Amino acid sequence: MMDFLRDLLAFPFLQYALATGLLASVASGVVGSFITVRRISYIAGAIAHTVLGGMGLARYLQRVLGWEFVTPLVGAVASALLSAIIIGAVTLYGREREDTVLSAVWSIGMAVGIFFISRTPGYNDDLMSYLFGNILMVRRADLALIAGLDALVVLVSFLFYYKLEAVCFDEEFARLRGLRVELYYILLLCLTALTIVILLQVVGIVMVIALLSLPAAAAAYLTRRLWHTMIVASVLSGALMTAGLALSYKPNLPAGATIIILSGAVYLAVVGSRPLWRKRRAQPGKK
Amino acid sequence: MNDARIAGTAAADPAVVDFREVNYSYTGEPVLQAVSFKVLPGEFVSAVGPNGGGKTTLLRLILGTARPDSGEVRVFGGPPERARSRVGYVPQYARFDPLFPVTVLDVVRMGRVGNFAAGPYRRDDRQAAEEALETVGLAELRRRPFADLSGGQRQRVLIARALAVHPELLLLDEPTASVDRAATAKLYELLVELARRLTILLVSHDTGVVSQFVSGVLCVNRTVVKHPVSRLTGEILSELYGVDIALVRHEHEL
Repeated sequence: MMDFLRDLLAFPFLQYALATGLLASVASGVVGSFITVRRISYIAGAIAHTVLGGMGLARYLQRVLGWEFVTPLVGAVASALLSAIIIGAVTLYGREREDTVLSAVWSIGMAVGIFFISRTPGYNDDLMSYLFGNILMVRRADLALIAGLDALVVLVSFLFYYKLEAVCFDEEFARLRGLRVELYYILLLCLTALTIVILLQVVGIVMVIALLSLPAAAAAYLTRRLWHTMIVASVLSGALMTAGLALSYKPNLPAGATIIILSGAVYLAVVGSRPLWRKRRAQPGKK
Repeated sequence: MNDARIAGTAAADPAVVDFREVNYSYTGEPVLQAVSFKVLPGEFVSAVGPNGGGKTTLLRLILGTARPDSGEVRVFGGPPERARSRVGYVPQYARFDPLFPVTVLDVVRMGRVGNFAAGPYRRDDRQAAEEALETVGLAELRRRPFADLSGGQRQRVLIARALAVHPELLLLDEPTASVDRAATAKLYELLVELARRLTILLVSHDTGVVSQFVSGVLCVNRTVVKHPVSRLTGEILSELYGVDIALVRHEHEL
């Protein structure tokens, strides 16, 4: 632990890692809470996996065709937004079975990614870091883009907080009040997509869904208003990121996996202890 | 009082709800056929009938979330979509996610969510929500989690949310479903109070109970027949349900 603190002061890469983790926590706490109460974390899972397609394609364009500006992060943003819009449109207007479409988008996205990565010469270590994340590899340029995305996600969420709350709570009523609920749903999926891209830097595609949903789900049990849930989820997530990073540093454990295991433990502890503090909250009302 | 309203002066006013030869079918099955009726300003009307008889469809047509295959539905003299700002809708409380972290006041304020473009609620939105909570008698519970309330209380919160809209027509979908008897009585007390200043249309199961309170009954079973409540006899009801009314009543009181 002391090694972590000492090196944190000395090495920029560790500072970038921690900054990425804390920035990710804010967006994740806010958007994760919307996703949890709206019960669409499985949709977030599908969006996350399609991102591999965008990252793989971007890598290919960069290396083989020499399009320098198409970094994997840019590819991730583009593919996450694209799949959010496709999935949103299909779940809203499609007559197909929703789970089939999600599975299709999910696996086709991954297949496209693997295809392009295999056609790209050079080291294929990338695949592993896309899938499982490598927070210690975050560069200064990435950090700027991550901070920008984070600010965008949080700003838009705050601007439309009450609209999104109403749509998540009771879509039908919100529609009758004149809200374009389909647009807000797509907006929520796009915010989810951007949050996923931020979180990917920390834990990678495979585990991103845990980081998006577990702190928010634990926080939702502990709070009674949605914005309280968001604050608790963000703080909890920030603490988990920091703890995971610190604990994994010296023994050279994978940081992403350590963070996820901690998140899972905290979630289970909150759910498991729920009967204890639920009594306190229960009140004499009938039924 | 009720009779006066039915027979009364409202006849000169345009109808609040006006169905003209409405047909509606769902996946080829006719749900409503050649339905014509009017609800006049100030009326307190209950729609009764068997499950699958078209009561919910009736509500959806009035809200504009379903469109008739033929015929015309007019609300406040125009298409239902355009009347939505004057209509307060109360769904069943049991539909809601008990894990959603939201307080009573948060829920009621949602009645105002269409009144601003973005950002927070305005002062008059908060005031409308507080007033609506006063009206349903739950002002002290405003900071309680919605999910911690009893069924009857939650149903009243949803009524307050609809009142926060400042509606002229209140539509309720089986407000007493899964609410115990004492709470049901209090709900009807509230509705009778509200009926003094609002037009109310209520979909209900408990035929026997409702007829004590309302001024008119819509009997819905693929067709719609409107009866003033004084004429709602056991004969009409047994015709509607096709069974002895005592049996129906018995069923609902279980």
